Amino acid sequence: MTDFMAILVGIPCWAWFLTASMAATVASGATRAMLLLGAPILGLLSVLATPFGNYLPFELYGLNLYAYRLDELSYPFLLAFNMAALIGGLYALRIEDKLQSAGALLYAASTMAVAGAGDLLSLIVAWEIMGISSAALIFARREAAATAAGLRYLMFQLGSGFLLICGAVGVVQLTGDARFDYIGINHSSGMLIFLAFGIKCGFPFLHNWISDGYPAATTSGIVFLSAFTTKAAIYAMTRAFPGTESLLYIGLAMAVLPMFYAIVEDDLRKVLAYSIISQMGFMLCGVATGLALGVNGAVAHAMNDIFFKGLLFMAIGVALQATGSSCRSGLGGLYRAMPITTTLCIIAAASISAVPFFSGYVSKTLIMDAVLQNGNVWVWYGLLLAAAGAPLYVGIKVPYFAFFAKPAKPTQAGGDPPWPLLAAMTLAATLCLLAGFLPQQLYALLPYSMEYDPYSGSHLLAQVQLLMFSALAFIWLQQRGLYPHSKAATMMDSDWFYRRLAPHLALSLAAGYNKMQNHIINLGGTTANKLRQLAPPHWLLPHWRPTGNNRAVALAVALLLLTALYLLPR
Amino acid sequence: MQAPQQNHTTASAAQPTEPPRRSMKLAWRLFMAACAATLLLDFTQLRYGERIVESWWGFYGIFAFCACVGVAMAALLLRRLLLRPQDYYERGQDD
Repeated sequence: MTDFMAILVGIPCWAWFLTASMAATVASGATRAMLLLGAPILGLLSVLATPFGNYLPFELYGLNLYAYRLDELSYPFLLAFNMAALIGGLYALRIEDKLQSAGALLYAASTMAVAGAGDLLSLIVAWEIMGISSAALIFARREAAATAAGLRYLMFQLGSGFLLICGAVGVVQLTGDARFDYIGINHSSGMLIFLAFGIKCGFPFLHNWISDGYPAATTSGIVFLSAFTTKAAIYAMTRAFPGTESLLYIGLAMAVLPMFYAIVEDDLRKVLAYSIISQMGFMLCGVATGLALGVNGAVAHAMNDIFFKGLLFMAIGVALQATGSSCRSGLGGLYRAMPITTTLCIIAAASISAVPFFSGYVSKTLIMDAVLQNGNVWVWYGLLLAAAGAPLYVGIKVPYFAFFAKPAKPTQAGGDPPWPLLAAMTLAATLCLLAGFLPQQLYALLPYSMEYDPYSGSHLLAQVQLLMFSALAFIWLQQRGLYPHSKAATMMDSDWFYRRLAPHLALSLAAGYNKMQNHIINLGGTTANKLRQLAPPHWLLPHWRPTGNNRAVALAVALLLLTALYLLPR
Repeated sequence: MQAPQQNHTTASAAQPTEPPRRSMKLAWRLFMAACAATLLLDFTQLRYGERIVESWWGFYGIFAFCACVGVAMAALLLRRLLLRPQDYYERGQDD
């Protein structure tokens, strides 16, 4: 075993996924299953076997670059990404779709390459591949609506990549160094990179690819999607922009605003997508403090979020496959048919609500305390609002409406899903519980060493009281019929700007252009006819009619005329 | 002989719906009691004043309840402003 581990030293974990993804384009059946499980297991062992340091050095344009770096910050992310790939692979084990398996493996490889990139060039390459390969998991749904959502998703991913390239070129010119370390927003290139990372973090008004794209993905694809892109973006933010004050307010807005959408939304997968943004807000606030406590909290919360959010998506995916709906109005009462799935979903919901002894609690507390230590009392109140709202918009809402509430129409569900899906969900639930019960083991993985006890009496009482009363509020609102609900409708979000305003503007511009063209053609035609009258009748010039070639000729005449008029006075 | 049997079956069919309602009521009361207990615990010295609002009695409970009701009411308002038919965006493209 030790000999085997010695072989793995220095092999980047993404190499296994890259190889597996190439093989998965042709493999099927048992081979494909082996690739899906083998890559994360080998990747995990490679990360564990490799000592911290820079690997795969190369030189380009006189810059010293390292394609793989393992250090205190990338280590916890790479561990979590490999575990997430294992869970996602188990969940997708029986899905015979080469596009999905190859896409998911390439997506995993590129995400790990982002977290392991030692320089900006490797980062750019991995960042672009991450954006494109992840879209495969949306296109794999093979429905017209999903394809449209996938294209909108891709637009944001490519936009982020473009900004990153522009910013990186500027940083290299400015510093003469391409290492991927602290960048800061003191210069415009830094701002561009900040925005590139911000798009993938889901900054306000740039977040729609999450709430629009993720629910369009396949049931197994969304498990990968929820784990990778946003958390890789948090890694990048933590690396390049810790202690940036503006992040504090951006993070606060991200933590609070999605609540209002998630609470109204009918599609539970969309609710979960909005809750990703809210949790990302917490993480960014942790990064923004720049304190060891805050950065640790952000990293820990990113790791925990990968597993509890993945588990929630998996449980809703099971319900979706069983009933054909992921909407609140199409689900309900499944707990009798699916007792195990229901229990696992409750574990995830308790984790995201930050119930003590579940994973969310031990990391959210770190961030809250870091914000308070940093002296940002008002931001702390805002985050407390988001923490109190978590049970309301996701923690109780999702399990209650999916598994317990009385269904609008009787649901037909066979029972708990087959073993690979149950194994994937159980593994994620185990990680949620382990982090909750053994927080010190989780803290030992974090970039900074610290002494912190999340289970002090004060913390516990505060959190229990907070959650009990938000549960009370949920029940009270539900009994009074005040809990907001919208059946099968669209909530306008910032996607309105590019799905409604921009197309309408473009259409009216096009109509205006057509009108203008007609005017010009008429002008040309009238001029031609006037000229005809001037000519002697025996020339037999034809009368101009606005059809076919005549239109083009008239346009050309009119344009020549206009050009001449423009040039003449000079 | 047949009539009482029929009565018996209807009674047993009605039974499963009866106990859950009673147990729900009990659970609701227990839950309310637990909420009250967390408020009472605020009087003890469990909190040791590391946060600003420490001294306020029942802060977390009152804050959470008001926050949740406030968020729900705001969401109701937001829904009124921003809700559109499901095919809103698709319909927009045909215009």
